[in-house]
Amino acid sequence: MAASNLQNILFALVRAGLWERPVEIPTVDLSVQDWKDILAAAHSQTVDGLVWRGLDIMAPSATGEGLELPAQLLPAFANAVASIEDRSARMEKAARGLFAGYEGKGLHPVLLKGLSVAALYDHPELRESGDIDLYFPQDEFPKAAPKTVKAKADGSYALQFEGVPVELHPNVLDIERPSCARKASVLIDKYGFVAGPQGLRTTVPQTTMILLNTHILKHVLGYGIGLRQMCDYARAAVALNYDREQYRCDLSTLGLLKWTAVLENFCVRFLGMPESACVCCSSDFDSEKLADSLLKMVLKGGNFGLDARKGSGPLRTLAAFLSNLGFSLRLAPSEAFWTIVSLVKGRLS
Amino acid sequence: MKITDRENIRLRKVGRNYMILRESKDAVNMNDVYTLNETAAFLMERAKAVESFDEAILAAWLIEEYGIDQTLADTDVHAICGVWREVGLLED
Repeated sequence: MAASNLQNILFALVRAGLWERPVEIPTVDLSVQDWKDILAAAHSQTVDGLVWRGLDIMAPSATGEGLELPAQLLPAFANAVASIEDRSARMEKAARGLFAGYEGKGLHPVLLKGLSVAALYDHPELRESGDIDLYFPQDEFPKAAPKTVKAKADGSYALQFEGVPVELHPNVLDIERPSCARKASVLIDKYGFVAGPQGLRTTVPQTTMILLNTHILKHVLGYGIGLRQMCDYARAAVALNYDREQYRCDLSTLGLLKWTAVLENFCVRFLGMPESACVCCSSDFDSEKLADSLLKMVLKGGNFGLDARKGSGPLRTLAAFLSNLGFSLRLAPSEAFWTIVSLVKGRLS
Repeated sequence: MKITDRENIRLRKVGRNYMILRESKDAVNMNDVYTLNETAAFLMERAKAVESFDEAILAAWLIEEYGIDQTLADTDVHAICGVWREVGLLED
C-alpha cells in the first residue's frame, strides 16, 4: 500500500489515542505487511502507546467498520507496550529516589518534561520517556553536578540512576538568542515552580508550555523532531490550565509567535488539536505551508530526529542545521541565527 | 486451585482482543502472551484477585455475569480450566 495511506492510518490511530475518542478513518484494506509498517513507524516515533490506545478505541463495530491488528502481530505489540509500562514505572521510582536524595542534601530539583508531561495523558504509563530531566537553580547546580562526569557542551550533565538515564540542566529553557534567554529567565523566576501530579516539583503550566514549545523548536532547528514531542505539545495545550493570553504575550516577548503559529497549525491539522487551544492565528497560507514542511521533517526524523542521526556532536548538529537553514530562517530567524552562533562555538550537541 | 504466579500476570484488552501477559521464564524482559475470549478474560480477572477457587465458584461467577444456565456454565468453565492448566496458568 502507498506510504501516504499508511501514514494516514498511523495518524488516525495516534489522534484516537491522543484524545481517547474515535476518529474518522480512511477505508482501506490493510495487509499484515502494511500493519508491520505502521507499527514500525509508530515505534520509530515512540508513539506505540498512543497507537495501542487508538487500536482499542477504533476496534471494529458490529457493522465491521474499524481497525484491528492481525492476530499474529498482537503478542509482539502487547509485549512492546508492556515494556513501556514497565519502563515508566521504573522511571517514576527512579525520579522519586533522585528527589529524595537531592532533597536530603538540601537541594531543590525541578522535573522537566518527560514524566511531568506523561501525567497529562489519560494513560501516563503508555507515554514513553527517554530520560529524567532535572533542573537546578543556579546556586544549587554546582552542588548537584556529579564530580566524576564531564559536563556536556551546553553545561548539562548526563548520568545513570538505577539504570535510568538522567540529565541535569542549569537552564529550564532551550533558548539561544541571548536577549530572549535573559527575558525567559525573568519569566521562569516570575512564575516559579509547583508540585506536579506525582508530588514532584515541576514547572508551572505557563512555563511548561514555553518549555515544550522551545524544546521542539530547538530540535526542529537541529536534527529534526518526532511525533511524540508534537503530541506532548498538543496534549499539554489542551490539558494544562494556563492563561492563554499571557502565554501569547510571553511568546511575543520571546519572538516566537510565527513559529508557534506553525506548531499550532501542525497540531490542529495533523493531530486533531481543537482550534480553541491555539493562541496564534495559525490558518494563514504561510503557516500551512511551513506546517507541511514540518510534517515532512517529522516523518523523516522519527523520535527527535534520532532515526535520521548518523553520529553526534556539535559538527553533526551544525551539518543538520545547515541543511535545514532555509526552513529555520522562515520559522524563527533570530533563534536560528543564535543557534548557529552556539553551534560554531561548540555549545550544542 | 489457584492462578499460578498471579502477581506477575497482566490482563490486557485492545479492541476486541483480550490477552494475558506473563513474565517469560525463557527471555529477560519478555512476556508470554496468551489470547483469550471475553468470557475467559472475565474469569481470569476475577480468579487472579482471589487466593483460591474451584470450578463451581467460576461457574457461579459466569451465571451471575452472563445469566447462562448451570450446565453451559459448567461446560465452559471445565474447558477454560483445561486450557489454563495446559499452558501452566492454573495449579491445584
